[in-house]
Amino acid sequence: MKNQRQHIRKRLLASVFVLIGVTIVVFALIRLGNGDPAAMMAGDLATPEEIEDYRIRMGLDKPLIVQYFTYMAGLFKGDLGYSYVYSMPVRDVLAKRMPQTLMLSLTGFAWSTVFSIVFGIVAGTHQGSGVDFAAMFFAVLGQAMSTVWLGFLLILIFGVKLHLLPIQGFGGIEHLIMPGLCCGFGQAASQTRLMRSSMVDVIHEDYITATRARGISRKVTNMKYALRNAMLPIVTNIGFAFGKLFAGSIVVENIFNWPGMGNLMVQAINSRDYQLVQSILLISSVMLVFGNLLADLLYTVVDPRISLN
Amino acid sequence: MKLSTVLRRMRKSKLFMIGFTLLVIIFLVCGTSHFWVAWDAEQAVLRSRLAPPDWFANGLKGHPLGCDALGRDILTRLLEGGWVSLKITVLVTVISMIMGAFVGLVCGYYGGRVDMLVMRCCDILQAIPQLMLAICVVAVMGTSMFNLFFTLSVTGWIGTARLVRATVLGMKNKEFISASRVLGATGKRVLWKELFPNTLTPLLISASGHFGGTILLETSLSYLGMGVPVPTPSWGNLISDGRDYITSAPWVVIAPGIALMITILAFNFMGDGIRDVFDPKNTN
Amino acid sequence: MNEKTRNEHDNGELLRIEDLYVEYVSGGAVSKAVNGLNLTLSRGEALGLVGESGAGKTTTALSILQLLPDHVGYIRKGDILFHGESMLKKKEKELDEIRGKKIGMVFANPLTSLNPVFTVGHQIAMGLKKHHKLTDKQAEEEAAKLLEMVGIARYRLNDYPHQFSGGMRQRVGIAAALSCNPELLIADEPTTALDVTIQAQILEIMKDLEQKYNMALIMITHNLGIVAELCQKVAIMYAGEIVEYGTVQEVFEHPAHWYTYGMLHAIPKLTGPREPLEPIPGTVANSQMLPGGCKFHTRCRHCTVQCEKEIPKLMKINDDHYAACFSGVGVKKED
Repeated sequence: MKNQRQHIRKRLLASVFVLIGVTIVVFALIRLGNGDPAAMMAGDLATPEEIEDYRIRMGLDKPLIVQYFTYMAGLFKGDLGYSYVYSMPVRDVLAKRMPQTLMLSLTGFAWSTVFSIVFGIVAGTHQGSGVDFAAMFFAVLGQAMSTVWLGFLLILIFGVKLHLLPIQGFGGIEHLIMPGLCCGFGQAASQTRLMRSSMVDVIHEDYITATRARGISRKVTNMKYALRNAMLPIVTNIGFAFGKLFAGSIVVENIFNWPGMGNLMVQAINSRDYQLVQSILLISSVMLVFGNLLADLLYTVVDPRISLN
Repeated sequence: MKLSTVLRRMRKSKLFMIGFTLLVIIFLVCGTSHFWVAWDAEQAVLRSRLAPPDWFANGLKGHPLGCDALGRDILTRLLEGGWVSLKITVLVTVISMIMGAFVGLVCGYYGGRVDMLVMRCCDILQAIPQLMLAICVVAVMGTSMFNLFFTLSVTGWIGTARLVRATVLGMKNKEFISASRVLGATGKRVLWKELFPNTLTPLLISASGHFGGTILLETSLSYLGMGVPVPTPSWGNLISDGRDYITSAPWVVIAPGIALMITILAFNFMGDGIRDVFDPKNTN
Repeated sequence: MNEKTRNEHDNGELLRIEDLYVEYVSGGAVSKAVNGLNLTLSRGEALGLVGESGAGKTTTALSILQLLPDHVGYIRKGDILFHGESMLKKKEKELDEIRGKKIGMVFANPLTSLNPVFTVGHQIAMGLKKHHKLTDKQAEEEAAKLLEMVGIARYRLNDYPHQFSGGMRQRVGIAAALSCNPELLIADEPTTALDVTIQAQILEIMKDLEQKYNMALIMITHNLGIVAELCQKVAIMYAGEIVEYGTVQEVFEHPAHWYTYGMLHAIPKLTGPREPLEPIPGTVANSQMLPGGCKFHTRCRHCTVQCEKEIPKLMKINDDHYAACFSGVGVKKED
């Protein structure tokens, strides 16, 4: 228990350092960009004096290193900067978009996790059966499909031909189905494959034969004793998937015109609203780092063999 | 492992042969298409706007897969765009592999501060989702073919470096390395003659997986308008071209998606095949 | 049928394997692991099943429990009778009532035969909970007793397998196999993966338990010393067949099959003058390409034309001794 707490503290510290590194990279990347932020903020009709005025007001005349520390100081106070396109603090812009993105990505995360685990277990325990074949077919095809193309295909089939679902936009639950499906598809495919192969590997282990030799039925052996082992790699994978949630929704949000952060990100890049871009990147990184941390911690919890010293 | 053993196992592996054959065909057809297709891939022909497929009724002179919104022949664009996409993917993969292998070998073998520093940098770069990082790099540098190469390579080598490093670390203390050390081999020699050849198998497997990821990333970037600059065709561009015509002309988007899928399948099959070939449990 | 069953019970017969053929099929290749094996075991009897790796010993053990790997291992012919009832005709549910309860099994590799993510206590107790319908608390108490019986302190009940050494893990495996007082214990090379000193400890434990519980034992091993130590009967296996069978004393003192003879003379003696060893030439027969006739003939120095053509059957030498060899050791000596 003590080791565990120490391990968590160590990992948390490492994650904080990584995130600080991320802020440096992101900051540097955005500042390297062409175009004068002050000129953009001031608008097309601004005179050189007005632009200069903006520059001083935004602190853009100071050396980069000073700008960076100003930015970091703001971050620690919860100030993400100011979006000149929306003319409001970045935090407020994000607060409006974040719930939609969370809704979409969590939908994808939830269905892909449940679906892949169930499908993978059934396939793995019925090696060579029809279900197994279907699972492999789905996994192989799903991994080879572009999200963009899948989105278009869904729109074509369910929206255009069958008139079952709305093609785009945000609204009721029916608006969520296609984007949600699209969001989790790749993850569902690769995780189904992982779950299946993990199950197949475990079932052939000696300790499973030993369990059966003690008179434990096939069903109980598979669902209780094999599953716990087979879940080890999956648990880590789920953590990683959780981290990639936001990043995965960029394309999907654009296809379905979903008013979330991903859509916002592309708009912000096109309009060079750099403080907004910076913040979205940072949030995605926080998610990713958190997901990896989660994967790591979950693993130490579920696998007693990991010694934490 | 002897080359003859590898070749024999490759021939025996169905997955490898299917993937390999498919890829040879795809590369040949796309690569040579410039010399035999009947239309220009970039020239707009407004009178054949959104013409539906005629399924080879008029041979190559017709529009077997139809035309896009600017009246350009889709088959032509598909093949030439395929060549563009394949070139990018192969080049990016090769660059990523070389960079990854080099960094991984050096870090894994020498260890110490340099290793520590490089690995922390990798941690940081990997903490930014790849697609987002790529979007930002392109946004900063502007869209061009070179920038696309650069972006995809810069964001692509990290995983490989980690893999190679882990392999090297796992091998460093094995007997055969110590043995060659005892026999007086220098560090450099051990690195290139002993360690490097042993990282080739994981490198090959990782490369075949890398193709699929890269080509999918190219599609996503092109869709967001940050990939191959228009009007140059690429599979990503072709798919995004169909965006506004899903309702009226679905053929614009369907063909490139299928081509993309088959190509990735071929790469994945070949990757699985290679894994089988180099599997120590393989007895063929 | 019923009458016959009762009769066999009266004979004291516990297990009978009749003309068993087992094949492994994978990727188009067929391995003939067991080829016409016959074996009888009485209640309370300890039998050593001896042979080189690949002779089909483990396959025989898994066949008895009907635990051959799915879609790979198949019983092609023959029958296995436990208490006179065919194991092959039983339903899964009935088999689950025999496995662990009537027949226990100890596996060869203690490092892989314990589930890494469950405590050893749980793994010992799971059979008890299933077969004796014990509550968690009772099962835990019972498991603690079993653990002490094999020489491990009870406070280690909630530890995981990786916290134990190989020898201790094998003791856990033995405790789990014995948890329900089985009538038959199959021990598949229980000491092969262990150090020599640990081997002795495990054997000591097994010997004690054998006397204490009066259960039948099939000791699978390639170590003749272990057989001499623990068993009354011995069966020598080669390429999926029993080539010699009898009491330990008979077989070891008067081997009648050249394979047995070879094995006995390939062991260095610790005492007496140094004698050159006589290794058996060649390697164990490839189960994918078995030779015709006597399967040992390719490695036998005394092979005759008959050996190459006919498959020898187990022939009675005396009440305590059977062998399947045309040019047997005894015959040779008379020349």
